[in-house]
Amino acid sequence: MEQLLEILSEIQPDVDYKTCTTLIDDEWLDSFAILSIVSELEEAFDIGITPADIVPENFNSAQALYQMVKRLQEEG
Amino acid sequence: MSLISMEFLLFVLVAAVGYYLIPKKYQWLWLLVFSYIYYASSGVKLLLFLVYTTGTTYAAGRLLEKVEQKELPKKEAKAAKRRILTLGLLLNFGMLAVLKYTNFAVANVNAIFHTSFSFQKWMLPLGISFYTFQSMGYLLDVYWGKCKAEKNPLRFALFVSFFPQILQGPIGRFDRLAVQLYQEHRFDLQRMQYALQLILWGFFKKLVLADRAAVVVNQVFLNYTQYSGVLNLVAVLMYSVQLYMDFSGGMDVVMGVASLFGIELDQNFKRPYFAVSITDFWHRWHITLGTWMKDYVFYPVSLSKWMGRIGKWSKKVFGKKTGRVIPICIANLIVFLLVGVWHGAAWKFIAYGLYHGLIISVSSLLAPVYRKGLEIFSINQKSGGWKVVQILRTFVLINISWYFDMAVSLSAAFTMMKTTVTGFSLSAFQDGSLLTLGLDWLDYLILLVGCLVVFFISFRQERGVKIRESLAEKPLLFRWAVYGMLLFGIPMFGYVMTTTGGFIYAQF
Amino acid sequence: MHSFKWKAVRAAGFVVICCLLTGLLNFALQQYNIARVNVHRIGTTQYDDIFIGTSHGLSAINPEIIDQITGRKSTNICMPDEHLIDSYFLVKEACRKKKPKRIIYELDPSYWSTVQNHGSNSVYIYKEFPMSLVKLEYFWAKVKEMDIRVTLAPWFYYRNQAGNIEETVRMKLSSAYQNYEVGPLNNGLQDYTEEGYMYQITDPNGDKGSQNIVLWNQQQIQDVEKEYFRKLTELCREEEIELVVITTPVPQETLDLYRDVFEEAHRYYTELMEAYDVPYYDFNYLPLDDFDRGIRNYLDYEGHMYGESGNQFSRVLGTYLKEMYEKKR
Repeated sequence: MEQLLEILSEIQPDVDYKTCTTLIDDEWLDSFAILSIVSELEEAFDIGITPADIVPENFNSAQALYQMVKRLQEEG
Repeated sequence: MSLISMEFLLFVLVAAVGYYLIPKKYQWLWLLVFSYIYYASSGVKLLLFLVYTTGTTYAAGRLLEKVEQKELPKKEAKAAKRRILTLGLLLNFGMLAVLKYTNFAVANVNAIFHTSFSFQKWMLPLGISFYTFQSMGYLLDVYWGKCKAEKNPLRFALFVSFFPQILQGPIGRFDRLAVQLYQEHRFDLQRMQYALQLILWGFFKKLVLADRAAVVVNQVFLNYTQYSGVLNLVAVLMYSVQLYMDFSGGMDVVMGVASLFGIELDQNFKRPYFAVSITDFWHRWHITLGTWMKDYVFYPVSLSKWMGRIGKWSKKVFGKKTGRVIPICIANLIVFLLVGVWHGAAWKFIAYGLYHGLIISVSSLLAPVYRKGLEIFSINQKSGGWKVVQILRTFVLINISWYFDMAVSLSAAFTMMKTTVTGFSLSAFQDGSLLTLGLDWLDYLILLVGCLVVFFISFRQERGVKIRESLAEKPLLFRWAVYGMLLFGIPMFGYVMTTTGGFIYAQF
Repeated sequence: MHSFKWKAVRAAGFVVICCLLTGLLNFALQQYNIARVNVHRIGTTQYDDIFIGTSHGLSAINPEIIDQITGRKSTNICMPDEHLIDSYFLVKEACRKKKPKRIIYELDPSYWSTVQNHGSNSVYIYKEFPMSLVKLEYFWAKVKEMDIRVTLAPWFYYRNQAGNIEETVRMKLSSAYQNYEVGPLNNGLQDYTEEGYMYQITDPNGDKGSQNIVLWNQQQIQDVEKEYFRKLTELCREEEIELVVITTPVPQETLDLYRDVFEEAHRYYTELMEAYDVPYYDFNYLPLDDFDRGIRNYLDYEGHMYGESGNQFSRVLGTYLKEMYEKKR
C-alpha cells in the first residue's frame, strides 16, 4: 500500500489519496494519469493490466487500486 | 426526416402517444418499429446496412458468450474469442471504411501514381459512423466481460437503431442505454415538461443562432481569397458559434425526444468553450465520441504488448518520467488521427485531428516544465484571473483547429490562417464590409444577444445551477413567460434559410 | 397538493393561449396576396379554361382578351414561384369544387431545373387553401417536409411586417379583403385584373436588369417536377379535362444570347409532350403575327411582359387556342 501511494503522488501530487474515493468520478485522474499509474503498477508489482480492468470501480480510490493489484497478483 | 421538419414532430407525437397507451411490456417493441420506420424513411434499401451491422454484431456477441460457456482451456478460449472479435470488428469497421473512405483512397492513389481509377457512387447510409461505433463498443464490452451478450435479436436491434440518436449520436453504451430501452416506462408529466423545454432550447440554438452564423461561415470559407484578414477571423468565430449551436442544439433535441420516451441518453456537451485546456475541451465536446475513443482505442492500444515494448525502450532512452509518457503520447496521437478521419475522408480532417493530438501530447510532456514556470512567475493556479486566461488560451487554440475543420481544403486552411494574421486591419468594422457577408446589422445583433443568452445560461450551469429545476421553482407566470418567449422568439428571430438546412453532424 | 389533473389542465391552458396568440399574429402579420384571390376564384366560379403556371404566364395571359376570341370563359391562376406541385393541387382544388373543361399549363423550363426555395412564396398558395382532403394531401406531399415553423407559426414569414400591423389589420377588416377583391393588390406599377392577369405598367426604356438569368438545365431537372407533371396528366385524364401546354416567348435578345439552351429545352419538351400525348405550343418557336419580341416590350430579360405586350400576346394565344379547338371539332 505504501508503495502504491508513493506511485500515485508521484504522478498526480495534488490529491489526498488516503481519503479520496472519487478519483475518477471527480476527474482527479485523467486518462494520461491513469495510464501512467498502470504502467508503474505493472512494473512495480509485476502484473498485467488489461483494458477490461480500467473501470471506475478499480480506480476511484487508492484502496480499490490496491485490491485490484492484489487480485491480479493472485491470478497471475 | 430532419429534426426540425414538421413530419419529424408528427412522427414523434404519434410514437410518444402510442408508447404510453399500449401495454408497457410492448413498449420496447413499439420503439423498435418506429426506429425502423424512421430509418427506412431515408431510403428503404439503406435498412440493409443497418440489419447487416445488427446481425453481425449480435451473432459475434452470442458466439463470444458460447465460447465462455464451453469451459475450454484458458488459452484456447482466449484465442477463439480473439478470432470472433477480430471478425466482428473487421466486418463492421471494414464496411464503414469501404463506404466512407474508398473515394479518398482512390483520389490519393490517382494523385500519387497518376492512375485514373473511377470514383464510387455509393450511398452512404445515414448515421453509419454512429451506429457502427455504438455496436462495436458493445462487442468489445462483451469481449472484455464488461457486459453480457444480448440474447434477443430484436432487443439488440433496438439498441443499434434507437431513432432519436441514430443520425447524430450521442454514441450510447450498452450497459447504460440498453436497460433503459427495455424497461417499462410510465408517463411522467414533469419529465415531459423537461423534455419539451430541452427540445425548444435546441431549436433556439439551431434556428436562431447556428443557421444565422452559417451564412457568414459559408460565404467566407467558400470564397476565402476574396476577404480580408479580419473577415476571416470573423468567419472562424462565427464557425465556433455555428458548430457548437448546431451540434449541441441538435443534441438537445435528440436528448429531449429520447426523454419523451423516458430514456436519458449520455451527455454529449458540457459547455466546451469553458474548457481550460484542450484535454478539458475533449471532456466537454462530443463527449461520447471522446470516451468511446478512450475506452476502445486509447486504453487498448496503450496496454497492448507492442506498446509495452515501446514503453520499456523509451524509459531506457529518455529516463523514467518522460519515457513513461511517450507511449501514452503515441496512443493519443493514434486516437486523434482516428478522430480526424472520423470527421471525414480528407487531409484537412487528418490535420485537424493531429493538431489536437499534438497539443495534448506536447502539453503532457511539458507538464513538469509548465509547473515550474508557474512557480517562477508565482501564478496562483486557482485564481479566477488565471482561469480566464486559460479559457481564452484554449478558445484560441480551438479556433485555430476550426480552420482545418471548415476550410475547403488543407491548403485553404493555411492560406486563411496566413490572411488572418497578415491581412489584419480593423477597417472592416467601419467600412461596412461586415454587411456584405449576407447578414445585416439586425442579424448581428440577434446573434450577439442570442450568444449572450446562451453564455448566461452556460455560466449558471458551470456554477452548478440546474436550469430546468430552478425554473420549475419559479412562479407560474414567470415560467409561462419564459416558455412563451422561447416559443414565439424562435419564429420571430429564427433565420430563414432558402433551402432546407440539415444538421452538420447528421452526415457522419 | 397539485394533482396531475390540475397540472394537465394548466398545461392545456398554456397551449390554448399559445394557439390564440398564433392566430392573432397570423391575422396581424400575414399579407394579402394574389394567391388568396386565385384560390377563392377557382372554388367559386365555373370556368371552361384555367391557366396555371408561373409569373411568365401571369404577365402574358389576359383571360378577358382570350375569351373575346375563343368565346369561352377562362381565368389565369399563374403565380410567381408556382411550381408544378402547387399547380397540381390548384387543379385538384378546382376539380373539388368547380371542375374546368381545360387546363392550360404555362411551362417555364427554368422552373423544372430549379429547386423550389423555402422562402415565403413556397407556401403562400398552400396557406390559402380552405381545409379539405386536398389541403391535407398538399400538406402531406410538400409542407410536412418543411421546417416546423411553416406549419406552427405561419406568420414568421411576415415578421418584417411588424411595423405595418395597423395597416394590415385595417386592410383585413375591409370589405375588399373579405370579398376577395383585387383592388388592394394594385400598387400603381402593376394592376391585377379580376381574372388574374397582371398588367405591368409599360416603360420601354426602363432598366431591363441583368442578362444573367436562371437557365434551364437538363441535368438539373428535379424529380419532383417530372413527378407532378405526370400526376397532372393523370389527374386530367381521370377527370376528363383537356390539357394543353404552352411556353410564353422570351425576348428575342435572350433567345439569341442563349440559343442552344432554348433550343435544347424546346426539343426536350416537344418530345416529352409527345410521349404524354399532350399538345405543346412553344411560342419561342412559333410565328406570332404582329407581336414584337423585342426587349423593349418586356420588363426584363427573363421574359416578363409589359401590360400591352401581354395583351398583344393574349390575342395571338387566343387565336391559337381557337384554331386548335375548331380543328378538333
